[in-house]
Order: sequence, then structure tokens, then C-alpha cells
Amino acid sequence: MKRRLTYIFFIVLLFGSLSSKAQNFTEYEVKAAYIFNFSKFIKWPSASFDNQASPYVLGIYGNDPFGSIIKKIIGNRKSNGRNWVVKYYSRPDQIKQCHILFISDIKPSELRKVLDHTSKLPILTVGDEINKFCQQGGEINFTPKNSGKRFEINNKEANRAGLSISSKLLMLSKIISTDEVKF
Amino acid sequence: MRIKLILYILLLLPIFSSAQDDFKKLVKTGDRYFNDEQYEDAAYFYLKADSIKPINADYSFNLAISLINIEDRKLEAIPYFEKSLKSRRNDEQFIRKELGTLYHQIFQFDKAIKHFTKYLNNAGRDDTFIIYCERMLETCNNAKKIFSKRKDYDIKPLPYPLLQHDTKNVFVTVDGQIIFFENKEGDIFKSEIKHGRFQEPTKLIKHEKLVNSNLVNISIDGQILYFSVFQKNNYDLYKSQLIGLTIQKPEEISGDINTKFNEFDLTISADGTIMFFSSDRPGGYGKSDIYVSNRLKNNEWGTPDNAGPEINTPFDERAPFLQASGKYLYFASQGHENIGGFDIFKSDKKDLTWSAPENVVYINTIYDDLSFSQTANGNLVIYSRPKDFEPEVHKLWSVNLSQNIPLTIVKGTIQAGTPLAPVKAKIKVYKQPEGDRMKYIYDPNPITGKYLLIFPPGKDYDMVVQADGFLPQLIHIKVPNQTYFHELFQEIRLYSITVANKKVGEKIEVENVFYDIYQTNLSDSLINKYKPEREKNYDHLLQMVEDIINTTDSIGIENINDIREAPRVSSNNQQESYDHLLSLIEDAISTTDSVSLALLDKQTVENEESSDIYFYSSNQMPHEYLEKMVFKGDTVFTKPRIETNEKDKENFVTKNYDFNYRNLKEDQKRLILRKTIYFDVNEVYIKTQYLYDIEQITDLLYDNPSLGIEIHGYADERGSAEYNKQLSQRRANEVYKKIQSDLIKSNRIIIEGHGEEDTGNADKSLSKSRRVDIIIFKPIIE
Repeated sequence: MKRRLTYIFFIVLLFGSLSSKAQNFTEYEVKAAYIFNFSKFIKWPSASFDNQASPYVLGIYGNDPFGSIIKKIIGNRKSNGRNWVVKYYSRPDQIKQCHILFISDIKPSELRKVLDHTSKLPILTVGDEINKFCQQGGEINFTPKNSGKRFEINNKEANRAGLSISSKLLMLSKIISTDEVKF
Repeated sequence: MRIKLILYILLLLPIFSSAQDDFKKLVKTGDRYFNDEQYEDAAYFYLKADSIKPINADYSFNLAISLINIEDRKLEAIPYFEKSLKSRRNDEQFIRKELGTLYHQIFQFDKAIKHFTKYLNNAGRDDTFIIYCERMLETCNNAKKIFSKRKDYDIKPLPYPLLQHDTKNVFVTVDGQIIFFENKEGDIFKSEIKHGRFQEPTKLIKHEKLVNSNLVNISIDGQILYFSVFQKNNYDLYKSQLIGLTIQKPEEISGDINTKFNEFDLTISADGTIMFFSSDRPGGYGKSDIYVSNRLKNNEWGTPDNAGPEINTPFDERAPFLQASGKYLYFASQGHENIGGFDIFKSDKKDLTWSAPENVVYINTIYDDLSFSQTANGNLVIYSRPKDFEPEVHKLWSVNLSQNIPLTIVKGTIQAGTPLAPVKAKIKVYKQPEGDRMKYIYDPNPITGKYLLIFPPGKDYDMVVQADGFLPQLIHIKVPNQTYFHELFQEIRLYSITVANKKVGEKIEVENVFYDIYQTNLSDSLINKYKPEREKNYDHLLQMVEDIINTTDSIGIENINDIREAPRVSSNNQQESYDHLLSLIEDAISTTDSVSLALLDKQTVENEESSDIYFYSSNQMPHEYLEKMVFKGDTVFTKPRIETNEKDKENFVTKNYDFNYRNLKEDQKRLILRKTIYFDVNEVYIKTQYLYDIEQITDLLYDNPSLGIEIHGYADERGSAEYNKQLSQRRANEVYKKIQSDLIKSNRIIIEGHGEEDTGNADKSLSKSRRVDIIIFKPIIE
């Protein structure tokens, strides 16, 4: 009995120590969490949803760095009363109804095609630390670690796409404009 | 009980006289066998007699002598020796010596001490057993002390499925993920940790030359096994590679190691420079001693030296084990502060010598202890331990030491190609700035691409990675000067870069993930308030434990194991922590709290990823353009060093490519790719067959801001020279329009229309003159 108790005590210790270790999140867990929260600070035109209950569609273009994380983080959660759906794209013409398009690790020529395609649609394009993403017409770009602001936003481009981004989110980010005027 | 006995005696009273006769007969038979030294029979009759009527002190003495002469029944002699002390005719000194020895074996050290002390008090000056008894007295005193210390340790047998295996020896890889053990039959098994526990062991296939051999150690990554092989009437040291589940043909340890005497065990330092081994060659302090050998420049082992009187005693020393840090030497000895048989001792490195060995209290039994293995962080010790009272039966045990030896383990994978697949490679490691090479050449497992390196803290290293089909890569690793154990997961990925069907270069990606296991500076951060309350987990667990205890449900215990071993899988727990992450970010944004976000940023486990693209020179041999690196004793041609440390990358001055590429001289350009596009007569339209290649060239220029491009337009001889000049310029411009973009700065682009002045077209064929040459080059600037 005593032995078993000490055994159990050990289990508890181990269990405790492991769960404390799980406190550190990985890069893509945090990015997924940001993406989820973008939906709370950005308004899409109502026409981009079929109805009041239709879900947010997160598109992942090309390489998928998230793996199973994305489903765990946004899978069962709702924001603004809407569920989330994840779609995977490999060609620009596949992108139709989509609210957030996450783009990671992409060739520049392909990026141009994707951004050309999305510029007419109410889609929030999110770049994964892509060089000059916002300058080329992307809306939000995650910046590399330790670059001060966690992301940069091209608000003009977002407005053109019919999205309105909360001033709070804008305050936390570096503002980039397509015509190279910084403010 | 006593009433029963009296009843029996009363019943037996009428035949008491005959019982008396039987007793005498039995004792006499016993005596007869005893005198003939047939101890088993003697013991039988004495004991039978004793069951009728307790035998006297003299017979007890004979019985005790008989018993200690029978293997397995020695311990039964104790009460009879005690009894025989009552008769003055018996040799009291002899009895005390034997009793002391036996009490030691049943862990009654106080009684053993009493007998040995009395022996020594009565012993004459010339008594031959004084040394033995003094040694035993010391051993018992040690044992008493050491057994009382043992309760401070967390010692456990390794659970099912390892529990069923009788073992002889065991070795654990430095990361604690794999164990190799040998059983008494000489079969070698391997068991890996999956889902948090050791799996059912798999038997390895031994090479036929290893029939008479003992497994004596493994390399840090478990890819090489070391053996002492019995041949020509003595043991010699060998090594064998493990490929899959097959142990390959053994190779003799090179150099001056094996002799015609026995070489038993060996251990090699993590950097591959020092080996300790045990041998019973003459000239040592005792029969078997520990020797040390350094690896020479030619990679062979040098002439061994005795490890010295700090380690070796007049008794036997065996089974050295050098901890991965190289600072602690464990070994088995019958001398030193011993508690019986071989014991494991630990000695710390002090400059050039070793500290006085200490008994490793958590392992040693009063029997022979020769097995010891420890992970690199020092935390986990796994060993094969004799069972109490059955010392020939060994099982696997583990001790958790909660240690934290400052070392860095690099666990890496090397892959190449598209799609990525493990690649055959060699990794050499050089210490910086000295340029000393670590003596191991790490061969990543060709099937899995995995490799394992160990580094002491606070040094810089250069890794030279030579993968089949790629240029040698030079990777710089900075090992932090940490005070605790680090694990670094490294992934090396190699890709070929192909443009216009030509291999023009290669890309290397190095991803380092430092798992800083002991990062504790969370406490003062804002994130603390979002930490999930750990008590919740406990509640659930404690309730479950309580239920299990109430029902003593053994299956339930299994379930607990599952929770314990895969806490991350418990999705509730994970979801809960994601909830906290999400609300942390939401709160921070809605209060525009950039400090919280910055803190979160800081604590994110980020992959340090470095990547580098290197272009081949299309008109030079590799050694003409690769960098020459001179390490001590080695010259290597590699690509420029790639930095993997974030800070170093920041400090790394990026070359300034903001100049006009037109000013470059021809020898300042490395030609990477030449592509020719042909045109129809008097036409500037680019045929569709070239568009894909041009797109690839454009991407290449996007991806590599340092590359320059020359676009040379040509026209055939027909028509006026003036017109042809213009035509060639228009052709070049047409190509430029395809490539032009605001991401490719104009200073990188050189456009020229040469008209009819074609130097590259020797046979003056008209169709070959109507063309544009695209040349991609890399400026070579200091």
C-alpha cells in the first residue's frame, strides 16, 4: 500500500511537471491563435457570408505549416457566433469563398498570381513572414520574431477589399502601404 | 503449539526408547557421511536427528560445516553455528568468521560486525584470516552506512514488458530513449521508448563471430555496439555496427588495446577521444585494472596507461562507464568502500586526476554489481541488479536522480531531395576556434537519417556535413554556456535548385529547436495570470487514484500509466491551455496591450531556421570556388559557413549589393546559368516554349537578391546594321519585360543589344544569331 502510494505520488509529480512544460507554445500554435482572434477585430462585408450562421473559412495556400494544430485550436471554437472551416488550396483559381487566406512559403511569382486573384475578393490575406508581403498587396503579414511588432498591416488594401480592421489591431501593428508611404 | 508438542511427546513416550535408538543411529550415520565429506547426506541425517531431539553443540558444528559446503544451503548453517558456539571443543574463531560472513549475506550487518570484532579481538598475531576479517568488518560497516542512505533514492524496477527478462547487462542511449540489454543466454535485445514507456524488446540478430561474447557498451547514439569476444583463450574488445536489427561483423578495436590477456569492458568519451577499458594484463595494481588510452591523430588508440592508484586497488576493477560529460567515471571494484562483491563507484574528474571513488549507494548490493548506464543529463540510471538472496537472477532497475548535467545533446535528422528522404552522409565536428576535431565521425543512420551529437557548454562548433550528391556544408553551432541540460533538435534539409533543366545550385535549410527544459523565468511575466490552474488536473487524477485504491483495480493502474505517459494527448488539458492562449491574445488586442504580446512572443518556442542557397559555378571545378577551411590536420573545401544562432545572424554583416552591376569586371562574376532564347526572322515575340524557363529565372532572381542578370540581344546579318542593332535591343527588352518587376532592382540588370556583332556564334548560322542570351551570375565581392 505504502509503495503504491509513493508510486502514485511519483506519477502526480511527473504529471505536474509535464503539464507545466506544456506552457510554452510553439510558433504555429501562437500564429493560429492570432488568426482566430483576427476574426474578432476585423469586419467582413455581410455579403461574404451566405447567412447569419455560415462559418468563417480559413484557407491555407500551398504548404501547410500547421498540421493538426489548426483543427485543435479553431476546430471546435466559435467567434462571433460562427464556426470555423479549414480549406486547403494549391492553385489561385480554387480560392472562392474564403475569409482568411494564410500563405506560407511561396514562390514570388506564384504569390503575385494569388494576390492578383484575391485583390478583387473580400479576403484577408495573411502572410507568414513573407518578404514585402504587404507592399505587394497582402493585408496582414506576420513579421519575424523580435522585429518589434508581431505583424504588419496594409490597411488601404484591406479597405479596398471591403474589410474594416479595428483600430486596436492597427495600433499593435506596423502599417504598410502599397505606395510606400509609411505613417 | 506447545500443547500439541507435549501431546506428541506423551503419545511417543511408550516408544521413546526406540526413538532414542533412532536418534543415535541417525547421528552416527551423519557422522559417517561427515567424515567421508559427503556433506549433503551428512546434513540430511543430522537434520533428521535434530527433528527428533535437538542435537548438541558438537553435532551442530558438524551440521553447520556440512551446510556451508552445500551450494544454496549456506544460510541454513547460521542457527547451528550459533548453537555450536556453546561447546568449548569447537573452534570458536572459525565459527565467528563463518557467522560473520553469513550474517553479511542476510543483511544482518550488526551481528556480522559483532562476530568479526570478536574474532579480531581473539586473533593471534599470525592469524591468516585477520586481513579477511578486517576487510569484512569494514565491508559490513560500509554496508550499514550505505543501506541507510539508500532510502533517499527513487529506485524502481523497469516495469512490464521488461520485467520478465532476466538480464546480465544493460545500456541506455544518452537521450534515454533506447536500451540495449543482454540476457544470461547471451541474447541481445533492444527496447525503445514509445508513448512514454519502453516497448516490448526485440531480439537483435548477432553476427556468428559474436557467439562467445559479452555486450560491454554502446555508442552514444546506439548505432555501434561494443563487445568483448572470447577467442584464443582470452577476451578481446571489438565493435560492431547495428543496422536495423542486425549486428554486423565485429571489428577489432584498432590500436594498442588487445593483448593475449583479457580485455573485458570499455567506455569511450562522447567526443571520441578517450577510452577506458579493463584488463587483467600483468603490471597493474591488482589482478584486473582499469586502463586509459587516447585516440591518436591517425584515429587509432594509443598505448594504454594504468588509470592510476585513485581508481585501481589491489582488488579487481572492471566495467568502466564514462558519463557523457566526461566528468564522472563510474566503475566496478571489489576494493574501495565496498559492501560486498563488485560494487559500482563514482569518481569525479579533477584536472588530470580522479577524486577518491565514492560508493554509488543507490545501486550496490552485497553481491557483484557490474552494470551501470546513465543518460547524458545524468538524470536516469538504468542497470541490471541481482535479486536479493538470488544473486544469479538479474532484473532491470532504474533510478531517477533529478540531476542536471550541463550538456547539449543535438538530435538531428538529415534529409535531401524532393520529396525529402534520408540521405547517406558523414558529419565531422570541429571545435572553434581551436579547430580541434572531435574524434567521432558521426554517421547518420542511412535508413532514418538520424544522428546524435553531444557538446559541452559554452563552445562554438563547426559541423561539416558531407551528404551524397551535395557540396560539403559548413554549419556553425553555438552551444550556450548554460548551467543545465539542453536538448537541441536539428533538421538539415538539402535541396537541389534546378532552373531551365539545369542544376544551378543547392539550398540548405537548418532548423534548430532548443528545448530549454528548465526555463523558469515565467514567474514574473504577465502570462502567469493566464496559466491554467494545474490543480484541476490533480483533482481529476487524485479522484481517479482514489477510486482505483478503493476498488484495487489493476486495470485502472494501467490507465493512470496512460495519463502519465501521454499527458499531451489528454485533449481536455490541451484545449484548456489553448483557451488561455486565445483569450490572452484577445484581451491583449482589445486593450492594445503590446507588452503582453511581446512577452508571448518571447516565450514562443521558435524554430531557429537558417537557410542558404549556394550556386555552382558553371565553368569552374568545385575546389576552385569553394571556401578552403583549414582545421587542425584537415583541409576541407566547403560552402561558406552558415550561422544558426539568431544573434550571430544579426551581427553577420550582409554584403551590400546596392551597386551598379555593370561596373563588375568579368572575374568578379561567378557564372551560374546561361540560357539562350531563339527568335524567328525579324521577330521580337518570345515563343511560349521559353516562358516557363523565364518564369523560373525570375523566381530565382526574386529569391536571391544578390544575383545579377545579363540580357544580351543579337540579330542575324540580314538587314542594315542600324536596324539590326535596334532589333537586338528590342529582343533584349522583350525578355527584360518578362523579368522586370519592382522586386528586382534595376542595378542588377544589364541589358545590351549587340546587333550583328556576334562573337559567340562561330559558324555564323543565321538562326542561331537571332537570339537573346540570358546569363545569371553572382558577384564575387569582398
